[in-house]
Amino acid sequence: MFHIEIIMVASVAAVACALPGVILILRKNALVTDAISHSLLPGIVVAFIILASIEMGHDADAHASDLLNSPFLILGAALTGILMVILVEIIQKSPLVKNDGAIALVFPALFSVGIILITQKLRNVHLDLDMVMVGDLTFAPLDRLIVGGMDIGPRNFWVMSALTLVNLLFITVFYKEITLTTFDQGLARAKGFRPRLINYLIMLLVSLTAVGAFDSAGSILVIALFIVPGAGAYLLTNRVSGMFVFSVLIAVLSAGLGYGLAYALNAATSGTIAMVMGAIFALIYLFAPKRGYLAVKALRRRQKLAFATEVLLVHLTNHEHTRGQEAEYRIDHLKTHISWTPAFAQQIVQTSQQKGLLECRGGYMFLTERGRALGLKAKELRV
Amino acid sequence: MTIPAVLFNYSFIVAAVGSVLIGLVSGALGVFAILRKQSLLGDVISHTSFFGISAVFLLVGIGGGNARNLLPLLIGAILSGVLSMLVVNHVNEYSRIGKDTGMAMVLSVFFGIGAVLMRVVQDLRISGSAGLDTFIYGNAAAMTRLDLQVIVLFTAVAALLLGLFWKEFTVFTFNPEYAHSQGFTARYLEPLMLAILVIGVVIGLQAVGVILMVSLIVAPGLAARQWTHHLGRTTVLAGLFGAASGFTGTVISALARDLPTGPVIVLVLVAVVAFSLLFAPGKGVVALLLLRARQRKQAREKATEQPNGPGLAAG
Repeated sequence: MFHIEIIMVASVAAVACALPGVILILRKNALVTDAISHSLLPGIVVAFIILASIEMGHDADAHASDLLNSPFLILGAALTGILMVILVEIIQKSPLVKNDGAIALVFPALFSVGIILITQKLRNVHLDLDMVMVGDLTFAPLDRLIVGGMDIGPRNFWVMSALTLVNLLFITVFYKEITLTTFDQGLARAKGFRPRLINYLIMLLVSLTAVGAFDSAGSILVIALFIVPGAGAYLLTNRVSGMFVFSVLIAVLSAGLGYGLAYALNAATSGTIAMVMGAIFALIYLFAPKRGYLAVKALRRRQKLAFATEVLLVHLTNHEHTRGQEAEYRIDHLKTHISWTPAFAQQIVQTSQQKGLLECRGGYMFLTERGRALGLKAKELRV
Repeated sequence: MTIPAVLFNYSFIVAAVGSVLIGLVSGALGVFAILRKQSLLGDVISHTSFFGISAVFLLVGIGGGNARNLLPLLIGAILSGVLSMLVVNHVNEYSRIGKDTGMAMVLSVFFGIGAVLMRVVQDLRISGSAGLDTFIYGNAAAMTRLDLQVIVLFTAVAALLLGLFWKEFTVFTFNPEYAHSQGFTARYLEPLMLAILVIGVVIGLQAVGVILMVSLIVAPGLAARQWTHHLGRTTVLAGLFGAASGFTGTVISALARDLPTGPVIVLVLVAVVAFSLLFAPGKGVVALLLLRARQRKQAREKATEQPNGPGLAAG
């Protein structure tokens, strides 16, 4: 039961993150997760301290993960993500600071404030420095959500489910707005779709989701939860809706396998989930049909050969029945005339011969009827 | 006011000298990253280098060597930093996945593998494994004399590269096409510039840590750019800002209890940038406001002069 509950929490956290991640990938804004997740730390710590002092007086370490899952903390901390985005926009107004420079300036500053607050104010709490980086799922099932006296499961599971629902709702309701502002900002603005507002909403959702997943993944590995499933999905389909589906599948698969690996290695679950996600992406990248590395490599090779064959045929038709024919038609002269390596020339001549485009006799090439026709056609198209 | 005894401590002096060198090198090398709009690359490299550090730690530890030796750790960091960039470029070249997505992926996945390896290191009880935490949040106080020698070595390599290729780097940064026409091809310069960025990043990991290292790369250069347009002066000034912040951060961290050096150095740097953005002559916010006020006043004076001028006489 314990294992299943951890896998449930991990899966739903991964799914909640993967959904907005798809949008960020399409908007070429994936690195904003890095900036947001780091910026959230001071918000989380400050909200944590405030909530602890309100709810429990001096006893701050009693129910740390209770507080981390409080809706007030999630909302309050998510505001730091928005604060980061606004600060970056203000700093960018300086003519000498570019967008990426402003981001690289703001989020380490916010993260530093968070770290200093933790070391100074929260020495003995569950919220320690290790957890800030990678999170910790081990205790997730211990913190139960009790409704009307009934234990209905780990609290974080419900928090992440709620966030998944919010993300799903946002994506379905604003599907048109999201896709339009993503693929054609100018048109979106002209049609009155307010791309800036949509952008802020997306940033808010990313911040909310990152705070919710902070418990399980910390501020660095949450980036993997956001980006890797969507990236894998990007290589599997051309449809935005398909990307959402595939990214959810990859997220759930990685969460399950990742927990198994963590159990075997006695390591932090979030680290192994990131590892598994990396491995799944590597497999997709290598073997995906049409868009994977091997498929693209094979396609480019085919195109290169086809083009070289065309060049050869055009070369031969150009010099047919001319005074230079004698020299140009020698196979070992291709090196000087088209500057191919002898091996490559040999390969092209051979494949063309097999296709019946030319014939070789005594070190000379001769066009066949088909080869001549193709060469003339190619010449027409290219010139 | 008396100077606290901590500051005459041998280990503090080592830490301070180390931080100054680190600030100098990272700040100076970072200028090119800023100019090439690659600020976030520094962040990616520092996070991915954690994988290299953990892997080397594990390998050396299992082999029975001194796992805390900085030189192999930094070489591991350099290798994994370079590997991560190769992965990003490869994925970008052969698929439609953009560099930003590739960078976010390697950042988190490499860091995740590093975190898992670190856990293995701790489980195996390899001696000195507590020192690995240093690389996450930075702890200048943990620096030894041996570390200092390694840092000096890296500083020398960085200075040599920068001196030798200054002209090429400059041309390539501001006008890649022109650089290409002059025979400086991207094929060699791109990896070379990446190499100096990686050196700038890994050298500071011990003092500032992988998470905040990007600040030491980017912030000094951003501050320096506000004060001068000249590339040489910007680089020198960035180095000085980095060195001064490294020193100040180390002092504050040594005087306070339980304060990791990294965050303190970062906040000092941010203060330097904020001051520069506000008060730099000519380009700072205050200077621009003063200029605008002066122009407004001039315009108003002109407007009040106008009625008695020739315009009215003619009318």
